[in-house]
Amino acid sequence: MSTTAIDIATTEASNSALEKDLRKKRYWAYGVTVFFALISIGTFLYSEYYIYLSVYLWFGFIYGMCLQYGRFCFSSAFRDLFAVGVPRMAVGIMIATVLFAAVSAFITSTGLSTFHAAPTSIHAFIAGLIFGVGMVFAGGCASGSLYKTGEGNMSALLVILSISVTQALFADMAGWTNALVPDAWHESAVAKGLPDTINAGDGWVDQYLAGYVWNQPVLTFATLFGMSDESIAGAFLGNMLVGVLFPAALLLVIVYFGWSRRAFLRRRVKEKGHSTFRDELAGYWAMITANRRTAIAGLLLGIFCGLQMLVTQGLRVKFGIQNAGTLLERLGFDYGISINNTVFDPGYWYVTTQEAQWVGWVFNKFGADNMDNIYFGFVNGIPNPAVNPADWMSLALIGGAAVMALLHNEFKFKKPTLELAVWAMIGGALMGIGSRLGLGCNVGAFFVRVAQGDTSGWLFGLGMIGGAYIGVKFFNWWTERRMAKEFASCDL
Amino acid sequence: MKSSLWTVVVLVAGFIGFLMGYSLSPMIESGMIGGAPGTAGIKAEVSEDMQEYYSKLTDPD
Repeated sequence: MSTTAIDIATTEASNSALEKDLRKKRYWAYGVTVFFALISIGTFLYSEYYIYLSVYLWFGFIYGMCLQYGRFCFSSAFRDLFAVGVPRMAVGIMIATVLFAAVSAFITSTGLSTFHAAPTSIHAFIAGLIFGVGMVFAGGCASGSLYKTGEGNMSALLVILSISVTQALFADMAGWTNALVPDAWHESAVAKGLPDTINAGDGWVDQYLAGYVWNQPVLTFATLFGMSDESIAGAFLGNMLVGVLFPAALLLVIVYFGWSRRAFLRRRVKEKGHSTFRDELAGYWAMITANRRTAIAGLLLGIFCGLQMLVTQGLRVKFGIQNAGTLLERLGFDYGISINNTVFDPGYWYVTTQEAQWVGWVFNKFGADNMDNIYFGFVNGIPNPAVNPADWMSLALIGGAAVMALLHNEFKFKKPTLELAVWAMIGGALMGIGSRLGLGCNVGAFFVRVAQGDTSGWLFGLGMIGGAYIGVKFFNWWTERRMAKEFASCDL
Repeated sequence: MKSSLWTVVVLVAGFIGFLMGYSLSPMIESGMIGGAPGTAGIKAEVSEDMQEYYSKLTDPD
């Protein structure tokens, strides 16, 4: 056989193996989709109330597909920006936030939004700072870790586990941590007059929430200007234009001057010999449109986040409920429901609380008394993960990302090295703490809040950017130190 | 791969379409969407006998 014939045979064999692999991945993608479809149909046939959980499931599935398609990760965005000076992902996220804000303004002005603004104070900035450091250490933000798990990245799964466990422990931490609580927080928490089963005066997070966070003002840009959130002026001018569009444009100008302008103008000067203000505008626009995939993912995320609010609100009207806790009771699941008969049911995209809940549920099953705190016992509950609405969203998000990755031949099981695993655990723990302090993660405390005109969203975001910067600088120092050590040992 | 993706997209769109139709109709019926406020709502038919019975409940003996 000639060499050419052998080459052709080898190529054909490898093409055939590739085709077989792609076909296998395609079947897996169909399998995952059909699995969720069967859950959705089967549970609906059992009881129509399950359709409420299916809303979470299918929107979660779509979020997973969008995140994987757009490689939508806050950690990657800021790491690329601060470590290697590539602004594409950060710009894409900003564009996505603006697009989500436009959809949200429409939903809010119709009075059908399920969003509730959070208290605004310095706590949001500090929480963001801790979260930002954590996400750089972990190599993925809270939502990014979910979609990366769907791609087969086991390091991302470790991050999720770490976030989940840390939150469940942190929310119920008492004992010696009470000594760290200022007296004013303790007195204010006790004075709230919460039910006897909730021990608001015991536990750091309880006293932080009831004694400090709840005393802070709840502000949106619309209310700052004396408008109501539901009015057209409030939703579009206050919350969208002033609250999102202007700050986002300003941030993009900073990114343009800091990371994008020099390279663009250098090219223009090379072509034309000089540059004008028009070239500056062209450069700004080129930077905005550079990451098409992230922008498309952002647009779709924006539309579907808004639609989820609408659909959830519709089902609440249909079933005459305000919270999924009532539905779970009607379905016969009364275990793990909060003292207010509620479970975590935001009605929009959220990531971290459901992660804390499922570990909280496991701890409770092993005998931990964690229903006497505000986070689980008074507000969110710890329902069985199999019927936890928000858990359906996160699991389906992983599934949606897996389907997208399988169909694009980007799915691969990746085992973490010991070093990566350690960083994943440390980063996840910091993100878990940051999430509980900020009442949300990069999605719940930043992306959703900013898009709804909630002032605390920007505070969390600024903290997160600062934290990411610190994280990147720390990693640079760490890497250089390690390399120097390795070089030194080679010299020996 | 493209046709496989579209198959998944159509399936997901089908579910979302069903969910939207299922959830939006109560809002339309109750006037939350596309209706004048206060024109719709839950109405219970009460017979004249029943009305008389309830009005007598508040009468002093």
